[in-house]
Amino acid sequence: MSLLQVCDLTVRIGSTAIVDRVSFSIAERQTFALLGESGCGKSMTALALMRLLPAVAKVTGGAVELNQTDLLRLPEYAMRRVRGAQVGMVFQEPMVSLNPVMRVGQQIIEVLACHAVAPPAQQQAEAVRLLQAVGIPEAERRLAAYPFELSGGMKQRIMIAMALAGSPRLLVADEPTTALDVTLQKQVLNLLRQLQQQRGMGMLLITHDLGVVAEMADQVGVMYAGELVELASREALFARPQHPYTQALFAAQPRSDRRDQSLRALPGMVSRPLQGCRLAPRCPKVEALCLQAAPDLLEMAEGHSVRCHFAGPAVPIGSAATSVPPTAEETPLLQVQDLAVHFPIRSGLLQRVTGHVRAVDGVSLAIRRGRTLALVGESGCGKTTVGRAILQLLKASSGSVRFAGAELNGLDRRAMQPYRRAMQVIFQDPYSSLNPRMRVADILEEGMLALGVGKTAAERQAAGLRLLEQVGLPAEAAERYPHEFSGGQRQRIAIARALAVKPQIIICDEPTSALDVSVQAQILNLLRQLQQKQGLGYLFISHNLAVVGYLADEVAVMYLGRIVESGPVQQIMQSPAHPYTQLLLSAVPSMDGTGKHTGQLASGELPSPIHPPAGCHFHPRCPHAMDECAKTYPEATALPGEHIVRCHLCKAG
Amino acid sequence: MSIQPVIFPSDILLGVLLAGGLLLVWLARRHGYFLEPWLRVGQSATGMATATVLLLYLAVGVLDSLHYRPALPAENAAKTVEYSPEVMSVLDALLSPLKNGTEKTYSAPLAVHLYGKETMTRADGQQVRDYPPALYGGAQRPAIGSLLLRGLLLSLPVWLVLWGGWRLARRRRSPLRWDAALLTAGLLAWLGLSVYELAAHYHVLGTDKVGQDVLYQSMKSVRTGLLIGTLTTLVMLPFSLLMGAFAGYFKGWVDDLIQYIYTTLSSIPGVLLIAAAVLIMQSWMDQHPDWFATVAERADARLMALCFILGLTSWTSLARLIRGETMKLVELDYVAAATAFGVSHRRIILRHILPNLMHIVMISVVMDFSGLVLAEAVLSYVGVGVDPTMASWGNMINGARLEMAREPVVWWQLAAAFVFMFTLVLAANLFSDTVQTAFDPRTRQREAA
Repeated sequence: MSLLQVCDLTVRIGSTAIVDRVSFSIAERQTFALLGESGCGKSMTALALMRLLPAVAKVTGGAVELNQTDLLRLPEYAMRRVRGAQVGMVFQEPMVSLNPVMRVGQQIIEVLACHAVAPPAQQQAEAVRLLQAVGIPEAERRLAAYPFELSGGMKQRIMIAMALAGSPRLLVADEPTTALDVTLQKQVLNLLRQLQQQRGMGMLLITHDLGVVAEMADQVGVMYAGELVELASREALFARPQHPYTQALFAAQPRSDRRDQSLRALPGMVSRPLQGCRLAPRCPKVEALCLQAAPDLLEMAEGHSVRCHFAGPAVPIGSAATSVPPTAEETPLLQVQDLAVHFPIRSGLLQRVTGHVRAVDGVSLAIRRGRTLALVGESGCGKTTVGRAILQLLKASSGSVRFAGAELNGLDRRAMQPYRRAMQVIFQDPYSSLNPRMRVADILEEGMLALGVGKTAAERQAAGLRLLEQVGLPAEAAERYPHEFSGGQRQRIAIARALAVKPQIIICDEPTSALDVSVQAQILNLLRQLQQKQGLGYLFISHNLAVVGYLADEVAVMYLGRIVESGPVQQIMQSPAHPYTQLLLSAVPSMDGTGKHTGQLASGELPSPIHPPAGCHFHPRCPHAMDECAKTYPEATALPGEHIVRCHLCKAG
Repeated sequence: MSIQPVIFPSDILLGVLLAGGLLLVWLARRHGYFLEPWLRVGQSATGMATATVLLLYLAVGVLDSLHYRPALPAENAAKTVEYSPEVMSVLDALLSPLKNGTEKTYSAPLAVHLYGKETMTRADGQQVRDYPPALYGGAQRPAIGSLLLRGLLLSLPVWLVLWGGWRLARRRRSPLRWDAALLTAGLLAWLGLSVYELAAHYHVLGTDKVGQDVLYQSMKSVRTGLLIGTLTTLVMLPFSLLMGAFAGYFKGWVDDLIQYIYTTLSSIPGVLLIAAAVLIMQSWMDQHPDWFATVAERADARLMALCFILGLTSWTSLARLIRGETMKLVELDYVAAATAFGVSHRRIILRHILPNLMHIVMISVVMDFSGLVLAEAVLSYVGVGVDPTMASWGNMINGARLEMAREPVVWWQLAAAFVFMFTLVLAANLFSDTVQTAFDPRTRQREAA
């Protein structure tokens, strides 16, 4: 007996069907995952069945039955009783989903009172019970807290508690872990799974992450351009993906074992051709039939439906050029030694310095020409600050940054100018990194003008066109404005801008974390190809270990402003020595699709860099903590093969 | 008849403003990002209709800004031409019947006689006490109804032309709401032509205490209102932009200093500060009567001074807005990228900060305009506004103040000033509403979602 039955659901904005005849069902205790890239209509599907669509979108067909009641036919007052009481929803952004001026207890009790779950006298106790259920320690005290007093992981737990307050039969989780670190993602996913088992809820999980699907789902629906293209059990989908799009998603995953080849990414981006299969313009298997007739969702095997004329084993996309790593020079081009960035905290009438945020607290790195050094860590560990301090966008408190032997720290604007050419940067958010008021040609020219690359305007213009070609954009892009491009294309423009001054080192600050997996694969391929051609050195700042395993040559793991482990990528990935690295690696969802939940559970969250724990910063979260760990910060221990670790355990061993 | 053109400083500034407006149009045609929000303004019926009204006011204001001194009738052909000490404008020339058709004292709108009874000697020598007939319009006045009909008939060709324009816009599939603009224009033309017909024989809005036509005064006040609303902004903008952008960009002591300046300035009650400044300026001008060749010149200098005073005392709120927005922009990655290229502070401010502040500037300029027009009226009423010889709505209201107690009441002066000002301010407010919606980046996001 299925709990939720969605039948031919169609949602339109104007005349475009953004959700096109989507059908699936969710049984009790079952997790159904809707997988797809941004803009494929998965969130709209969820909003449509909660009847929370934005005003421009309209449901134009289909039925949504929850326990045999058609939700689309309910009047609004009855629907309000369904939301929260029968269907709970968890949103992506815990930071903006809580009202900042209400105590979290009040917000939970509001839900309890609204659905008359508990009589007023018992609401407080019920709220405490809910917070305990989502694993919040000291629940009574936390009820009185305001959202700003809580960390991101806490807030997401509170959102889950609120979604559970009405004891819903179905939980809709829209990208519940996308905004969280990998360790927190693991915690939240475990919590969701556990609660689902205890309460026997059905769950609709919306995600773009194959890893999350592998961890959580029983059934999977893959969406592309508003249509369900494949519907299967998780085991079947991971073992034998049948639709070319699903296959492409798997092929685009960056993994350590694909290091020696470029990623196979679908070319182009999502489009909606007027006739034929929607994937046809990008599909490696495309034939004449695909361009004429749209395929139907047909059942291929028991419980495995595919929307493709030629469903079957994968055909490789493009040629996977094996990449030869460029020969690396031994002397590092950029040498960072004991770099520290402390932000003063001022308080009181006279703005006296009363403490420091030790964002970066003694970091040493070396970047070689033609190699990639990855800087890995949870958000808030100071990795972005390292990048900015190297670029001299922030003033370092102490330590040295030497480029080809020359000290950069303490140089004034003018003296720094020659080195600006050598080091460039690519940012995470392709939307805020390009000035919306400048044409692409002007954006590319800006650096050349400021640093005197290219003597004449014609020369610079020609260079701009060459750059666009290098990053795979058409020449007419030069005359357009950034808002006319998609996220991936903007990131290409940002890369072209950095390349414009012919740098030797590029600091990539999470360049792919805002992008979809297929676009991420395109950008990673581009970065690698540029490195091979031009011998660029990369400092690749990332929290995504899969990307790091694919792209990096060396890895430095950062925790609370310090490097805790560094070494060649194979060693770090395969035999991590520091408990923190082990924890990070174990939190990465396994992609084998067997649904085994292995690995230790990361506990706790990153402490504040204002008052770091005494001794080893990691000891409060470390499963192997000893007495010594609370007293002294461990010295660097060299393991074989340039592998350095700062842990008391390794020294003893 | 030869004339001597006279250019007042305020005429120059108005010219600069108009040139600036044209420059904006040119910029908009070149840069898509600037044209786009204006197109959104044009797609709203309110935007187009109010823009038409504002353009009419602007046309009146511009006509009133083309000043000249007519030559005096030559007494002797051999002598050099002497010019009249009175400065005229093109508007004065167009409205000369109204300007010259003065009465002895008050007369009600469309009245054929004056407001107060007088003792008159009739032709047969008998003395009667009655309302004296109005001098203007002659003895044989056509009836009001027939004049209105003629106005309607005259407006028919205008309607035909507008209808042709509408057909053209339809054929070109223009996305703009030309229908709203043309309809407004048609209504205005009908109203204008009716008033034109009536004004040839009647004082449409009556006359004031010294018998001047109120309609003429109200039209002359348009320029004053427009100038106060726009020139003040012109004075205020550089201050707000530079102070705000510097404070937000450089932070540190620059920010502290600028913040101190504007918090100090905005903690002094605005009207008091303005009144004090105006009084100082006034007494200073009175001590130097030799600086000004004509009365109009002095009045103009006083208007300019008032604009400066208003501008210097009202830049703080915009500066504060701009400082906040700049602080937000500075944190964006494209500014960091520019810094990583070693781009100079000047270029970062010019290329990355200022263009991204334009929407705030646009919104606040349009929204401040109506407030300033009203401020002028209030200040003139209090007596610290424009020169008493200058036509302004504030002066009209001030003049009407004493007559409110009369029985029957003299209402038309107040009503005329009110209607003219109300139309301008309402149009400006509605227009600024559409501008704000069009320029607000959040609207764009809502449309994209």
